[in-house]
Amino acid sequence: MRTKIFITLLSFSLIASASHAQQYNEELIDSLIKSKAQAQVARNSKFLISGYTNMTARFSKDESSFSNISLVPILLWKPSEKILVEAELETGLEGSETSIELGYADVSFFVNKYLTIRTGKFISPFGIFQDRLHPSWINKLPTFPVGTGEDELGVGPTSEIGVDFRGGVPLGTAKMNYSVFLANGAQLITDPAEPEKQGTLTYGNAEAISKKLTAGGRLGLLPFSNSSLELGVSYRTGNVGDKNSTYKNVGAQMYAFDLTYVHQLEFIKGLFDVKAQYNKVNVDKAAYIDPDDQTGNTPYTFDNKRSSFFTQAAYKPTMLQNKFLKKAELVFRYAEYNPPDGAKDADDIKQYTYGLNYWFTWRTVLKAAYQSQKDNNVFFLQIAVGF
Amino acid sequence: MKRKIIITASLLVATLIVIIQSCVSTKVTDKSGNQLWSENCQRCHNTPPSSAFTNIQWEIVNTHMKQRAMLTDEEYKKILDFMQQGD
Repeated sequence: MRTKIFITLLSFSLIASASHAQQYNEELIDSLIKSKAQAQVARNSKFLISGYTNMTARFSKDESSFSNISLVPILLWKPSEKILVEAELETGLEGSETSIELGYADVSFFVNKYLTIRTGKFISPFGIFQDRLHPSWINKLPTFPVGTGEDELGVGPTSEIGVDFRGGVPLGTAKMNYSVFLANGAQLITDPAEPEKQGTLTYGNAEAISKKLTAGGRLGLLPFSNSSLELGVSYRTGNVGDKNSTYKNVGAQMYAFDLTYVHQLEFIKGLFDVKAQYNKVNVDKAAYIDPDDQTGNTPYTFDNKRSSFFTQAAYKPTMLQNKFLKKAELVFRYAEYNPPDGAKDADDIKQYTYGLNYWFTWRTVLKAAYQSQKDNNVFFLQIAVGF
Repeated sequence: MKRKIIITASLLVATLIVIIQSCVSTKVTDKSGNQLWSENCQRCHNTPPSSAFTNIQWEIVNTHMKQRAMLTDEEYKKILDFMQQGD
């Protein structure tokens, strides 16, 4: 009897230990597979969060405040050799509210050496400021030049929704780049409730405003092999009037010229950086409701041609031995905005901005700037960080 | 108006002087990744050190820049090789 009990207990304990060992082995194998897979995913995961953040303080005769606080993450994902997905979320504080806006979200297909097709919402390849220079850690001054923003003073597009064909092409010792796009049309603002905006355009519209798509593009030429100089010309044309309104045949043609010159020069012991851009927007003549007329029946019209221009020069003594001075940078920018004659919006604006920057790292900068504009002189301090 | 003309003309003259000073002609094929990195990045922003990103991150960043700055294929490959060597 004792032997029977002993054998039974031994059998149970053997079965139990075998079962435990099996469970232990499975857990071990699971964890090994998991760690191997995680390492593989980590090696192959081509995902990156980049972007920038900034905070600005402004001081003027009438008002001093901390403003323009924003965090702009850029999500980049390369799921395969030929595809890149990118998206920029512009988050910021407007008063006490947090605003979130989609800066861009597009997919690029690298078709061959010379052609990339991107589709979605993308920054308009119109001139250089919006396309290349607007992020606060790149922009050398705390403000945008007048006429290059998304406000009612903006001259030319900032973003597009559509498809863009682009690429860089070597031309011997020189090179060129091109960008040709088809996108949704801009929208003409006609509402008399916003007289300062009548005749202006909004861009990057997700809905079809006009019957046909808008076409445009930019051609850039870099004549020197050191890529120090780039000259660009941009064009965009299409209908801008609402297809269901009397403005349906109103069109707009716009063009821009830009210049970039950046080179390290021995005789000034530093980096000399010049940027310039001229924008012009011509909207076909249209009759708007006069906001000054109480009856709301009197139309008025004007020659709807507006332009803007900016030129900026910066100097950074990068070749000096002094560690402090070589991180400092002097900047000057002149910008102007010319509204249409006879429109109910703003007067001509001339803007002079003088800046002194200090670069803590290649992407962290403290900017101090004084901006002089008719009856509106402001001193700015801004900290901007790229990541 | 006079002021505007003077500012624009001064900048143009200064630009012309430095352009003449910097006239060189070397084909991209004869340039190193280091040289191309310096010449292309600084057109818009400061040049990043190779330690700023890992090798995989450099591949993503450079692909992004190939699309945005419209680098040629050869520039892209040489710059990427150079940045990844430093990782």
